[in-house]
Amino acid sequence: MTRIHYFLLVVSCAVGVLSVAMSEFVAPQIVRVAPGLLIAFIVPGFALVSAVIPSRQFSPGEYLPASVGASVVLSTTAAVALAAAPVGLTRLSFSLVLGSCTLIFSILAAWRDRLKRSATKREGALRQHE
Amino acid sequence: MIGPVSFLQSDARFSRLWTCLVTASLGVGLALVDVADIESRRGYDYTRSTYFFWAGVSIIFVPAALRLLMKDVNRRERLTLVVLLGLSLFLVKFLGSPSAFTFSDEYVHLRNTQDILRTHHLFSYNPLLPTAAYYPGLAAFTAGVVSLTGLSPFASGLVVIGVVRVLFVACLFLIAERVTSSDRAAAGASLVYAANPMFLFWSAAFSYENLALPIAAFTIWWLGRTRQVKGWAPLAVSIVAIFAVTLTHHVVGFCLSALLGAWWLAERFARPPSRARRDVGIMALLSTTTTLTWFFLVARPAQTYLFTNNILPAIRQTVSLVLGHISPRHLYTSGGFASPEWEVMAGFAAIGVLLLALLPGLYLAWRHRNRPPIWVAIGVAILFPLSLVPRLVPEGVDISGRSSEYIFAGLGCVLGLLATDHARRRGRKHERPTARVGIVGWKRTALATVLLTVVFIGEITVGTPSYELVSETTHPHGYPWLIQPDAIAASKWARDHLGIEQRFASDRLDSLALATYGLQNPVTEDNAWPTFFATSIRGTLVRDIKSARIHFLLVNWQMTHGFPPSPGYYFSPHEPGAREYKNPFPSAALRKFDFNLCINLVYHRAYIDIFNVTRIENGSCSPITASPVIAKVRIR
Repeated sequence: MTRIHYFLLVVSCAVGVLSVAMSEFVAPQIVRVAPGLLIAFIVPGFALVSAVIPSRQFSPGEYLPASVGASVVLSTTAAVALAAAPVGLTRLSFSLVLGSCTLIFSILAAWRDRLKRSATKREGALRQHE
Repeated sequence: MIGPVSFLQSDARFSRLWTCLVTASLGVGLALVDVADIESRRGYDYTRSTYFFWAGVSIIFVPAALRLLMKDVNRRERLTLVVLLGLSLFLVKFLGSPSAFTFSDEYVHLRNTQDILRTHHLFSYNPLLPTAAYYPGLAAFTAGVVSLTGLSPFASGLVVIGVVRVLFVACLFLIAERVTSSDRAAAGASLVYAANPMFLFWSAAFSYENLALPIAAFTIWWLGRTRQVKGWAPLAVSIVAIFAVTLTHHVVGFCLSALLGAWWLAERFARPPSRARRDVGIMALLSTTTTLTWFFLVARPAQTYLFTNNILPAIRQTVSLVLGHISPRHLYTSGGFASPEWEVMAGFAAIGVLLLALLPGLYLAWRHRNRPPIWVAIGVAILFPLSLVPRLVPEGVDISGRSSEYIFAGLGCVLGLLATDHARRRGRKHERPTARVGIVGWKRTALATVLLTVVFIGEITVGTPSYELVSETTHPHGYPWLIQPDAIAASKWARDHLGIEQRFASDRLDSLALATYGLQNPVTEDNAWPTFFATSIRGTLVRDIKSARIHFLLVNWQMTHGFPPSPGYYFSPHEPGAREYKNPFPSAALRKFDFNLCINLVYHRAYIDIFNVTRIENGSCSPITASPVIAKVRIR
């Protein structure tokens, strides 16, 4: 995973946290639009794809549709599940689910990348030792 | 679906100049379309407005198509242009209705969204289309976007459909690229798909199919793209995507299941067993199971809606036509409106070009038969000529039109192969190829662009009546095809003064306004028309009002000024004279509500009246014994 990728994951987490925070406080609509659209259409999918697919397997041209597609899938399923559950589909419940997904998948992506790096390092060291 | 990406990439550089030129042409085209819509809305000559429209869509399509079909274009550039073209064509629909939804299906899903926003839960009764409430994917997602952003349901719906339009065209390009092993063929496939009769307007509408189809395309691309990735995680994403499709649209669910099944079968016969093939099989099984379970156990009204109301009548009429029991319908005419001669010719030319190109396309596809996905594309493309037959009967128009959204995906992949330079692709640059069927030089590129433009223009005329190409004037003379501000004002008045979810009877068009702006529950089409067609207050009217439990009537006097345009009826396809009107609705049939003590006029503004018939419905007043009121004769 490149530094840019890590940076984007951090930004995704920030957007997730911001969306949850804004659902609790009264914020002007103009402030809500950008994070709202990002959390619904890009951010959770980006985190999910980062967690599921090793970063070099997708070209940048493929990362965008993958992120948007995964986000749309997650948001649609989450919205229906929440509306079917007793808690109901509200601003808080929806942003909480999407924000949590983003956070969990981002952590998972970073953890998997770290595991992979340490495995590669260990392999390199073993080879050097041999 | 198979193989690595690297072999697909060409050495060509991303041309910023070409991208800027094409983007500029898209801008100019959209500006012309906007001029057409503004002119038409202001009541200028409709024919002159359509000239601007046709010039606009041509300027949008031609430069993009030309660049996309050229040789040695960077793959990323092609993908960018395909996305820009898809987005621009989406904006054409937006410019036609920039301030509110206008298509009948959009009102159905707007009501669903409003219900979820109001109740925070699913499955509220949708009076416009009960089935839609059982496929809540679009409505729930849009309601979620509304709550997150604070945007209106209209703005949120636009954003949702706009974003998934981008997702869809990108996924379609990436799928076609893997099916055909060529980014140029994929560009050709995307252009053919963009020329399907529904793409310009219908596929840009706020409708559940237009969310489900992009998710289905994403599922297929994702499944093919990640098949080499180890572990269960990519498969889990596919599973969630299949659930999302199931929750969003019935027909897309069935089509996705069929496509995955066909893909698995094609691999079953062409490839040795592998984990990837097994995964496709499992996904096909899962998709079939979830779609059928939801369809038969949860979305029960969908069975009647899909089979009894739509598919079976279309099949019955098509079979009757084939057997010679009925004659084909008049094409390009609807509700007394006829399209200009050149549009008819363009439509036939488009179909002719597609049918003629299908044979060499199938030949090229046959040469690629070692690739299982091309079998699926061939299977879908062959359905194209068959899908044209139902269009010749009144009940089959919708089925034929809507099937094009699926068939053109396969047809695009097969015809897209005509855009490839086969000799070069096989790495025999120095050899003279034995059969150069594909588009090679600039002359052929230009010819292909011209033919594709003919198909694009012609298919627009096939999919959209000529009077619906640009916005309706704000003051229509006859019966309108769009909801008018008077009806919206009356609906809002009803919401504020009568309360929500009152049972209304009204014409089809105003029912849409009542259900969304007024949050009322209009009675079904077949329950509404007998009340209005009754010649007097006596007879069966009381029984009709009681049996349909009608509390209020919304009467739109514009019905007496003109014919109903497409679909050709005021209330229901089963009303007397539906689709064959020679005269406007008789005003005597509406005037009967004016002269009775049991019927109270509670709202009157411009062309709209609202009558309270609750006393007839609950039996506390009999209109037959009540003395007629001395009414003022209203001049309209």
